Amino acid sequence: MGLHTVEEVEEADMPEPLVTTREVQIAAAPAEVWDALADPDALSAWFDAEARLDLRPAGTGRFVTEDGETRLAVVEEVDAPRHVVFTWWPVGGAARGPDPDHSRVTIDIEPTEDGSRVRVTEEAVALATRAYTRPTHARRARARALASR
Amino acid sequence: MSDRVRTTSADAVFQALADPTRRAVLGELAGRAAGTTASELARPLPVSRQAVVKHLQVLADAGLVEAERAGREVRFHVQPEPLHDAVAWIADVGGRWDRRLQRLKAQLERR
Repeated sequence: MGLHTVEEVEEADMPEPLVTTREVQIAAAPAEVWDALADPDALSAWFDAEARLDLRPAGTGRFVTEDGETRLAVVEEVDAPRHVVFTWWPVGGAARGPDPDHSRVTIDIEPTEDGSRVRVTEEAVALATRAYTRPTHARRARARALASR
Repeated sequence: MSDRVRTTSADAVFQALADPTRRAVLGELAGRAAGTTASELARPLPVSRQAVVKHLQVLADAGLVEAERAGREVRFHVQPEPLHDAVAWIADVGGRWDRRLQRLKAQLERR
């Protein structure tokens, strides 16, 4: 999102990551929003899952949803009470449907006149996954060979 | 190209669709249910047959197009599945965050 660095522009050939961004305006101060992330009971309530996330660099997290999916997380960046980045992935081969095995979540909390704006970006980490290995390499190679004739 | 193997095909899908000419090639192809050849595809487009072949290779890499030999010619077909995967991922993951953020808002504004 936002400005691109020179390196990013020069690497315009790189594939775009699979990414989605959502945001919400909340009538509460950034510190209150942060507490709702840091406190496992509050986090579990809005995540609708048994959740905890240790908001420290290299801190770990665990999310168990009602339908039995367990995700583990590792915190990559923290700047309390405004910014946290973590990667997470489902354990036990529980990835269903098109959900990728591994993605990165960035949460930004900006103070506004009447509270906070919370913006979440989730980005699929560029790793080959079961869901995305279709078509198989063999099929791709065959398609390429035929296309180049 | 070998390091591309480690990227998801969803990345390749978005990269393939970033080029307007490739979108035009895919659009032409999508309009022909029986599939078509590179030469036939090039006819209504303002690009050469060779350029169309190159675009078809990128689309094939992304899994959006399949090539099939039919006698002496190679016919191309649209393969929409990878597109569905990418759109489904965004809808699924984005939808989950929408629900979580609405609950967070309700939780914090209730107090």
